[in-house]
Amino acid sequence: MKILSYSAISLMAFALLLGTSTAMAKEVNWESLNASFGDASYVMDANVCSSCHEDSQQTFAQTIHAKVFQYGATPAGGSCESCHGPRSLHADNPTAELTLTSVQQAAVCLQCHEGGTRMYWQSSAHKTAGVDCASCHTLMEKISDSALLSKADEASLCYTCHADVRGQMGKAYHHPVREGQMNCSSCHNVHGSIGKSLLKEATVNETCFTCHQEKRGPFIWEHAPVRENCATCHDVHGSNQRDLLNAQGSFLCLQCHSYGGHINLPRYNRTSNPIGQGCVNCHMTQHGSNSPSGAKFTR
Amino acid sequence: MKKLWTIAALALLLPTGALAQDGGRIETSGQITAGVLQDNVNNSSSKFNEYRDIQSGFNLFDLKFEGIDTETGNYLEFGGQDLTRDDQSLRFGIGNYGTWGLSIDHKETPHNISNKAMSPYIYQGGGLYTVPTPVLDTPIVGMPNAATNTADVLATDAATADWLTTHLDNVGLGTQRDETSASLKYAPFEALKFRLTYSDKSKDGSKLTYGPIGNRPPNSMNIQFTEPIDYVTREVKFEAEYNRDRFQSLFSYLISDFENATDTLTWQNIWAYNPEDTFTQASSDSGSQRLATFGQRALAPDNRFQNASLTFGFNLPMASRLTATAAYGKMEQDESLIPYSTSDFDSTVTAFSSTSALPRRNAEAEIETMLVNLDYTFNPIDRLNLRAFYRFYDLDNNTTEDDWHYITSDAIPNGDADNGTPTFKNSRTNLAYAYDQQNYGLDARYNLAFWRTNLGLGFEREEVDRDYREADTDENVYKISVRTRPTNWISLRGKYRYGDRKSSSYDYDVTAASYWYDTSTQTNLDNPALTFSNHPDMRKFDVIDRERQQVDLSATVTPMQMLDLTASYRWQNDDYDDKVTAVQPLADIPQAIRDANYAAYSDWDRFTPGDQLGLLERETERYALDASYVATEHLALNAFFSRETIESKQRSMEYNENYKITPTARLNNDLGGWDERFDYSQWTAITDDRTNTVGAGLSYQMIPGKLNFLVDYSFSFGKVDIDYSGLGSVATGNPGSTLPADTDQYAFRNPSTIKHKQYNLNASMEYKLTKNLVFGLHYMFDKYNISDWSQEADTPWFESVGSEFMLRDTSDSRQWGNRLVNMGSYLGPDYEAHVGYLSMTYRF
Repeated sequence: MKILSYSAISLMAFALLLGTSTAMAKEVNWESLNASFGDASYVMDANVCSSCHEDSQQTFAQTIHAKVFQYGATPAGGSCESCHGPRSLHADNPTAELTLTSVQQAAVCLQCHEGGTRMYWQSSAHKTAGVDCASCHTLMEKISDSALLSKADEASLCYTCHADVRGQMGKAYHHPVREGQMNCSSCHNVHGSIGKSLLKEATVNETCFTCHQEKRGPFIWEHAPVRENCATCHDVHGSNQRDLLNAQGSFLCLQCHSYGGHINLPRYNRTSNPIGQGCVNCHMTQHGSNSPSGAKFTR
Repeated sequence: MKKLWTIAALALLLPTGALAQDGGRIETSGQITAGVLQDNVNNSSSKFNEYRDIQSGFNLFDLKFEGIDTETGNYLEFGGQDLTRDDQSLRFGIGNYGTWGLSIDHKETPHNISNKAMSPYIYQGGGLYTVPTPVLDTPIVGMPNAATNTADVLATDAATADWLTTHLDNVGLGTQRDETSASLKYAPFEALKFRLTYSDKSKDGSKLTYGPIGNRPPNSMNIQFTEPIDYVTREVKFEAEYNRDRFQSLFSYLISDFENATDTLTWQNIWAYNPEDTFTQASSDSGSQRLATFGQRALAPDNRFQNASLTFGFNLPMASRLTATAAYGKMEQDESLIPYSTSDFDSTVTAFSSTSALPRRNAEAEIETMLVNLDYTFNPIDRLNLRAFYRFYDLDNNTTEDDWHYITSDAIPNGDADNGTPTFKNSRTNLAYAYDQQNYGLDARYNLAFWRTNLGLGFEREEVDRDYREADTDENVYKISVRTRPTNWISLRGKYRYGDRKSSSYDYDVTAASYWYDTSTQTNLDNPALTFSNHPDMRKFDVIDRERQQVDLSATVTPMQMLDLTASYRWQNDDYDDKVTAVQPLADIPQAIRDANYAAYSDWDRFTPGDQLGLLERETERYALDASYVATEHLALNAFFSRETIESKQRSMEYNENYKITPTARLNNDLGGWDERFDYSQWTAITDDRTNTVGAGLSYQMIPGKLNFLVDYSFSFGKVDIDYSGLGSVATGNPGSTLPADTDQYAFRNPSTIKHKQYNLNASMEYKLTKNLVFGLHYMFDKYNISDWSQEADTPWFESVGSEFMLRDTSDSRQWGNRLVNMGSYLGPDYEAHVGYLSMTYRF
């Protein structure tokens, strides 16, 4: 039944979405960005631009913007001037007067790209830290496979500012970012989000569940700190402890538990303690249990 | 299957090849990189290919293709890396630029845990593990408290070791994650976009697990083995965007179904001599137990998650913006439940192996979440930006709460089996943990007129209310930051953050709600509902007072156009001082109960020591230095260094759980009471975790436009030390102890340093023969060293018996809770690898 449901949903949605139309990009209010644009008009001829900027145009032609402007929605300003503004004055007298600051460049980008996953950009940690679109994106050249990044791979770009995370990802136990199996954007929405630390989902746990669905539960026997926040026990960027834990074996559990007997300290005459995974040697369903006999997570 | 994906993808490209001949209407471009690789990995360690699949032989490293119909703007594109390998990724897309697009992505991620794991179990399918014959042909004897029956226990050790030599076999340990998604995008007109995504995620293989049978240490016998992983998650996500000049909206709906093909894990007790019976006897001088011949537990249940969210963004006057999100989520699972145990243990009263003994037959588990997020940024005056925000997140747990008995690890004392009632400690209610959290605050940023300086001030408050947890918490966070650029070549940032979290009155006894037996009739000395289940001085660090300080500093210096230097520093300190004071945990026991049951005892007025137990402090420091230098037009260099140190301090206390109601009644050579503060009762552990990473790289155009040389090197060194003091680390002077002074009660000692070293060197020489053809010669050196006492077969406190697969402690305790049959030491051991490959890239 579930399979039919998925197929039905997909087929109906596909039928709904068939059809073609032409989407138009928005026009920028250039004068509000730089008053010097007030007297300028669109040249609307890329050959005029290429007479001086041919090298840039050749690399730009490989990018998604060039293809969309050429074959899809061509904005009012044409291919070059949609982003650089009306250039009649510049064509007559090529000076740097009509240069845009990085903040103004961002305003240009946001004229088309303010929606979707960039809805929270204005209040995001990156924006308030002075990071703008041009800090991470290079639009005139296709350096990365996707997203027009300024470096060939996403992690290298992020490490430009977050160099400490590179060290964390280099630890023995880590999420597979350095192997290229994940990216920073697998967990983070760098353009702003509803989650803390720019996480894609509302909470740490909901972000983790996008890959670790088996831990979603809910379970009959819940482990309360697990339900509240995976980061209570895990250092997700990398750890010198197995399973990305932020403490060694039983020492982690002993930060919260002191029941008596074997649960009070690491005793080396218990296989529950120093060897293997410590307390988890017996309490292996520590993320939650669906066994009727799982109250102490030994089942 | 992998080759099928590649062949199918290539087949889709064939028609485009034909179209390319159609008078130049179709423009095509792409590249293909293939080559031959040879690797030499000593030790065959799984760690080398932990998350990748480097293979000797022919490799299709990279394939890209793009075709565009220049008249219509229709396109077809294909990309793939490491094709036919277990870590391959493929992407296929068709569409019309700016109008619609269909993309199909396929990604495979291996996680190799071990190539050398060994197990005596034979997997029968359906989650069932069996052995050809058990270790013993007689009932288990010798789980003594005293050193009696030692000869029998040691004989069983030897028999187990012998048995393993004939029954151990290699088992694969690792998983393969494959994810395929198809996404359709459509924009019927300027303002409206739709996106529909279907994804199928599977995870197969096995992971590490354990199978203890026996009610608790020292009476449980444990074995490490594999848990089958056979997961499939299917998801559909629908998104709709409507964007105007000053208004944007986004609606999304996700439904995600997780299915586990294996519901239950069942494993044979290798020491149960009579597998045709449902339980075996284990006798000792402290009483006898019945151990099931099969252990069983429920694996991750099938579950469903749905989430719907609606976000609006409004651009308002004064360059202000309001963004709002409302989201609703639901997680649910209703798996059929397994019984308490695989055996009735000959009880004529309770059918422990039947679901009829359960309070319900299905999980009836459900959690609902709700999120409201509001964010308003505005510029009331020039240079000043303000942001006000409010966020509310509610997790509501609707899981049915019931009263359960349970069987501890498929074992039960003879007496409890006969009377059909598990021990009172095994009468528990499942609690539906829930919480809600709200955050609100104000941030201000002001641009000063000089040095392009920006000052920031902020305040945030977080309030978390919880059900069935020890405390609620409120936290005030104060933030100050400065960003300045005094010249074009230097940029400085500094940030300080102070968080003061306060908890409500800490209820150390909150878990008493999970016990449902009649406390007035239970006279057992260890009675957590009557006393406590966690020492009253213990504080769970995630729900208590915390003072957090964080400093971030960074500098970017570009003294010359071709030289970039970046330095950053972070210091964060969490102080968990919860102002613990001594309490009298027995003072609330009703007088009537004291008189009726404990008239002989007078400990009801004892105080705890009042020293906070648990995590006390955690301090983190991170340094990072990056340098990049473009020496010439053809030569670029870079180097980096980073260091992270984490120091955490925790304290706890040893006490005898059997004397909670009468802490002063313990024997002289026994563990102390919960009320005592002696040098040998408390212990502290300071964990010092340090990681240094250094690297350098070079890119050199030996012959510009023709011959390039690239090399990069990195080294990461992680170390963990535990400085343990207190019980067991020093001579305790306990006058009643007959044990060696420095190992009183077998407590821990400082272990050896844990070390991880990772060396990586990559070197490539690429020669551009023609405009379209590049040849490459590549070399990779990869080395990993590990030293971890918890993964070794022989340590100061553990020894192997016969081989590394049978472990026991080196104390004079012969109790059976100190045995572990495991799959081998260092499942992902050291390795050194040399990889070389020739590649050819053709671009068209």
